[in-house]
Amino acid sequence: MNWSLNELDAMARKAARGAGYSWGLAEEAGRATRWLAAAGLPGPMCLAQLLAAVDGADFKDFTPAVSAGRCTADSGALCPLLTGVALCDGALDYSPMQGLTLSNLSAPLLLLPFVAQTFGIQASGTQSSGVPTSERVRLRWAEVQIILAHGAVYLDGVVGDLTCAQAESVTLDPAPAEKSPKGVLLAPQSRAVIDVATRTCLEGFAQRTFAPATEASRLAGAGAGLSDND
Amino acid sequence: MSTPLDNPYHDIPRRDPGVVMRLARMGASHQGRLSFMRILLRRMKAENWHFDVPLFDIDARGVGRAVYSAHGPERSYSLVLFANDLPPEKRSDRVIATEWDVTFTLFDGIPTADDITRLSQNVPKQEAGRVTQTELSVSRANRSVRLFDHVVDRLAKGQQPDPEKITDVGYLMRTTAVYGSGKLGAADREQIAERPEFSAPFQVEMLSVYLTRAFVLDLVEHLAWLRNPKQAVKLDPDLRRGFGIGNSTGLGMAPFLLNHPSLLNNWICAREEGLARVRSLAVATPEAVAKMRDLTLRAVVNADRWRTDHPVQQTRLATLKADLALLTAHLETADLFQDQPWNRLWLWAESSLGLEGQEQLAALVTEPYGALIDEMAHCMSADEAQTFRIDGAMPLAQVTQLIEQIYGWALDIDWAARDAQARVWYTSQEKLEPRLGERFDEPVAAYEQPLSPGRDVARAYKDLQTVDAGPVAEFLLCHPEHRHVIRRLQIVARCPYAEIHDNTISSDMMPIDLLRLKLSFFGAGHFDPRSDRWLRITMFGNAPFPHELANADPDSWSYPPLSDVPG
Repeated sequence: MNWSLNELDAMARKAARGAGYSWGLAEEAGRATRWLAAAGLPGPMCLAQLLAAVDGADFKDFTPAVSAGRCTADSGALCPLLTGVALCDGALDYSPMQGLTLSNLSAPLLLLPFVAQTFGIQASGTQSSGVPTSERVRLRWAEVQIILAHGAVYLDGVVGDLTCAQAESVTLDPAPAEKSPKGVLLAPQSRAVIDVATRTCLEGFAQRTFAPATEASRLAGAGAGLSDND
Repeated sequence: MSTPLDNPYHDIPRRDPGVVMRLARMGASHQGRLSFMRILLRRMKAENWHFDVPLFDIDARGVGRAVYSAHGPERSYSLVLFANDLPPEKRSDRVIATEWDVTFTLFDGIPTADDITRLSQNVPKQEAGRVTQTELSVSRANRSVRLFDHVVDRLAKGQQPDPEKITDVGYLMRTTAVYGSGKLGAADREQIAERPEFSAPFQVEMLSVYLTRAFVLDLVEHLAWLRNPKQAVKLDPDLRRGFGIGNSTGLGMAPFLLNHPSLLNNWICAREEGLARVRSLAVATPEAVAKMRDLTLRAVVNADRWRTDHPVQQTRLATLKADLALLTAHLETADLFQDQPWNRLWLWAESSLGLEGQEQLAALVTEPYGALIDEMAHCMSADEAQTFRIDGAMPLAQVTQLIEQIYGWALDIDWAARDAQARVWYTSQEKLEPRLGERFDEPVAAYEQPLSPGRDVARAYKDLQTVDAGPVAEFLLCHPEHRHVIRRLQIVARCPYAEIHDNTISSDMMPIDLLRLKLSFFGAGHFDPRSDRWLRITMFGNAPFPHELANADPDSWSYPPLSDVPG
């Protein structure tokens, strides 16, 4: 069974909220997961991994800080959502030309949509408005290299590393000027494929945002009570 | 030669968001030229769409299936439907229902037999089934037993139904949900948004409902014929056109306007631009004045036929009728030809009419000016991805200033007062649908949805007082709990009609006001609240049927014809 991207966005948003992220960050989680799925990448699985890892944590400890080109957080691990929005908002002391090293980044693939947004690249391979750029950026960890260039995404790497729970060191830097970057050019997808375990996990987190029903809420909450057989 | 009508520039500004975006005024909205049903019919008429029924297999109990197809210049769409014989005790408008008289999907193209078989296993289950990206909407409808049986009985006996009964109800079936945009696995809006026929909002849903109405009228005639083939007659065409299609809508729809601020802005902005253009006209032609006067009389008939049992709407309806009487009298003597006649009429209305009358007039004055108004249909969609990104470089001083400018009304509310925070928007576990709870009486606050921008902005404003100058990015790094509302503030700063200037969780807030604004943009009429949080409406009443569209005016149906005034 495949999913519409709107369904995935909504489920990811609710799941992130259920795991304790603020509504604004939950919205970002929805968009980021959708972006990855639309690029044919396993965003839902990475989100499920992240939520399981941060469940119950104090999110303040994940606040990213940059010193001498290295990004870290008090908790010891970086959250890709908090780090991603900080990057995108311009809250990190970072120069695109010099690059950035991120230490112990959980679910590193989830950082990609924020890098793309920072550099104005949509999953569909077109350049979005806002941040016109001719820059070529590269995101690397373990055996994975992702290059954003010419408004497109090129992926080179090992599947296991792509979806790893945490990467010890992730680097974001300018990509070398090559005519055709190394790796597979990602083709835009209109549907999301979500495996059963991922779905179960995300739905479990999303469930936490729903209030248990009572008979009173069934009637009063929606305002019914009259006959509809008329 | 250029005439004042050709001039798109105007000197009368659009109405202020602080006036327009109040819940009480939103709850007095009326359909108009830019309503989505009318945009749909104008396009289908202009493009010579044609319609057929490739499958109609329904037995005497009303059980079976049918396909209604609409063919545009480039693509075809088909309403695939499954009809059921529902026991009366199962007939519920509520989202908790599990069976319906008829279930529908709008198919992208012409379905094969295999498609229909697949859909027959899913569409009748609605939320419990799955569709795919070849389906654009999923919906269902129940009979209005008050009228349905009467009409079939009469037709089977060779008689026409009682016009009074038709007026009392207005429709033979009521839809209880029309899902689009990726719901239940259907195609995402983004997949079809580039098609010209779907560039305006909710065109998929409106097409689905338009074809549903055609089916329902065919169904009663078919059932009457099966019951008594020798005597049965078809409906008189004029009487037939009087039937709309009902809709029952509740809280599921209410948060939509809060969740789609830039889209809301584009709807309202188009409407307000239209009103400003008409008010700015230096003169009016006799034809335009005659049309406006004629439609006002027809609006009186429309109000007379409007039935509701709800005390709030009864009061509003009485206001509307009184306002229309004042307007009719004023139109008899007022000079409507020169010296910015529509602006003078508008200023008179602002000081003489209530909200119902003012909003009715806002729709009526634009009716003669299709050439000025209709092009705005192209501006009513929104690419929300374009407004999602936060401008992190915005200085905090600017953030504070924007809050004070736009949300002064929210800063003036005492949010510590119980009445100000009495309500909680939450999602029920049972049906995953929005509900409204009482914060101080029910254990629902922990599940609160972010549907109170006024309160949330006031909270952010308070925290902004505690930080030094700098970019908003740094504030958000320490205060991720304000992220959603800072995003919203930046959207509203660019889109003046994106925000509702009222407390959406106060003890006296009525969700039906939100519903009425949205439904009037659909083109609905005869709003009939069943409580403060759900209502019934009629859609496409008096509209030409698909087989009549080629020879009909696609706009003239939105007020009932004067010739139908009962004796």
